Amino acid sequence: MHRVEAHERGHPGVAPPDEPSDDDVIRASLAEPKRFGPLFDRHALPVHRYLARRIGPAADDLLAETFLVAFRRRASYTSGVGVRPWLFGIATNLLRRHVRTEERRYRALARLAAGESTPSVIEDAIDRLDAAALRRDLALALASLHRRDRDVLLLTAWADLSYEQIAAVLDIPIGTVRSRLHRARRLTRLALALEEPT
Amino acid sequence: MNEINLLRTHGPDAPEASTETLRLAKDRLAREFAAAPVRRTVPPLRRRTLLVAAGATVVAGAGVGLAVRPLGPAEPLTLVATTIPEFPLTLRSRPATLSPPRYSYAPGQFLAVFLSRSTTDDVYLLVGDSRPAPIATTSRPVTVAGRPAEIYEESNPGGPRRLAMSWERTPGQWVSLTGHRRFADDAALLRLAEHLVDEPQQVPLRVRLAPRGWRVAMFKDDTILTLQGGSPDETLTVQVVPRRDPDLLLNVTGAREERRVTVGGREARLIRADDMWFLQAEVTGGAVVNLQAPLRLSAGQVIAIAEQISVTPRRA
Repeated sequence: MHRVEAHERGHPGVAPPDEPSDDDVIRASLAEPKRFGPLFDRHALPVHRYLARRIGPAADDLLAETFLVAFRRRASYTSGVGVRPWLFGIATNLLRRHVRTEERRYRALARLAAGESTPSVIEDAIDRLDAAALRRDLALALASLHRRDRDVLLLTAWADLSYEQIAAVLDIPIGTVRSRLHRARRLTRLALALEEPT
Repeated sequence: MNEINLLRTHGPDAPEASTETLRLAKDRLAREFAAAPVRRTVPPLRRRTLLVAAGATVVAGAGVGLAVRPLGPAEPLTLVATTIPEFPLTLRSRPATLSPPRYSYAPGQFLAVFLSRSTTDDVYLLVGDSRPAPIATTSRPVTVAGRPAEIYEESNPGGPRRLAMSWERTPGQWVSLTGHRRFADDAALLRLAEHLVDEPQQVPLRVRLAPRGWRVAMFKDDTILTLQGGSPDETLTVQVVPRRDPDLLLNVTGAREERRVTVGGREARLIRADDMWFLQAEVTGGAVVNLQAPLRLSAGQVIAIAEQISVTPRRA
């Protein structure tokens, strides 16, 4: 409910010109529910991508759930946070029921990256091995993070939210966002440094 | 390249949502529209007109001389003292690695979360009036203070270990202790259970005044407290926020006017929005709280409720 930065980093001007803003859409939908519809068209793709990067195919169901929860809670939405960050927050909260799926996915992706075939040209091979190792190490790092730290890290990296926006949508103090992000980044760096390709 | 950029460029990725996925999700949402209750927002002038008309109907029907009384939802609410549930147990000899508990509540379930300073060894203590849902299909029997208990181990190959032990501590009082990592151990859980005593704990966020008949619907993580009356519109929410918002008029949805008021001797701000009151105040101890209340309450009642909010500073 508190004030956060009104701008949405990386996705300004979500409403096309001459169309009602996201906040106007939410307000209008209180009296006329179907007016909520344009928010799906504006935000479904980035929300789905965020979910899919985290839990893979199960994102399809969670996308629908995210918008259903948002619709049911639209009366409590406050304009400061921005609709897209708000949706990312709802999606992140829904992901908490799928922590094991998410961690299994990262570990599976790490195994996949480790087992990629070597191309014939040696330079390409080195590049691809480096990239594959990096993908493997990143996936393993994500799997090993605590869920709360991972939420903050991925809302920063993949949803492009600011500290203030993350604090607002996860309902945690900004100092907690900073400390969780600091810890997540430190552990990720550590994982990348310690697990050099062999 | 830092790790944030590496995550963007080399982190796990996924294909874009298919047209079919989007269509199915949108269809589910559209079905929800049809079933949704509609909130009627009537401009204040129009609302007053309707009330007068309703009152006139009563007068006309009941005869001259009867008081004009607002109907149904416009009936005034009376404030009465209210109590906030207390967490019924105390964990004596809390391990030094665990922080003081943070409480969450929903009817029938009361949760104390002991976060670990390492962030991985948390302990959850749930007290409820029914058997908690198990986290695994199989369990092993143990005994806690002479009562039968079950320990469940979550199946999480390669992931962090999590154990939950649950038992009926007293008739109708079910307790579940969940340990992560170093506390995910039979002996560790049994040791913790030995230190549970019947000593109710006040939750940090409390309000002592509420409309008659309203009850605590939930609180969450010591920061959000919700009371509800008989209908979904009868909701009062208190939230602890990190700091004052300098621009409430801009940021509260549907804000119409702002008043400077006094709460507990300190300046506070009261916003009248389209469909609610929104009050931001600093309470004793320095915490800033937001109070949202329905417009059925008067401004004076909202301020009176805010005067009775307290936030106990968190212990180290």
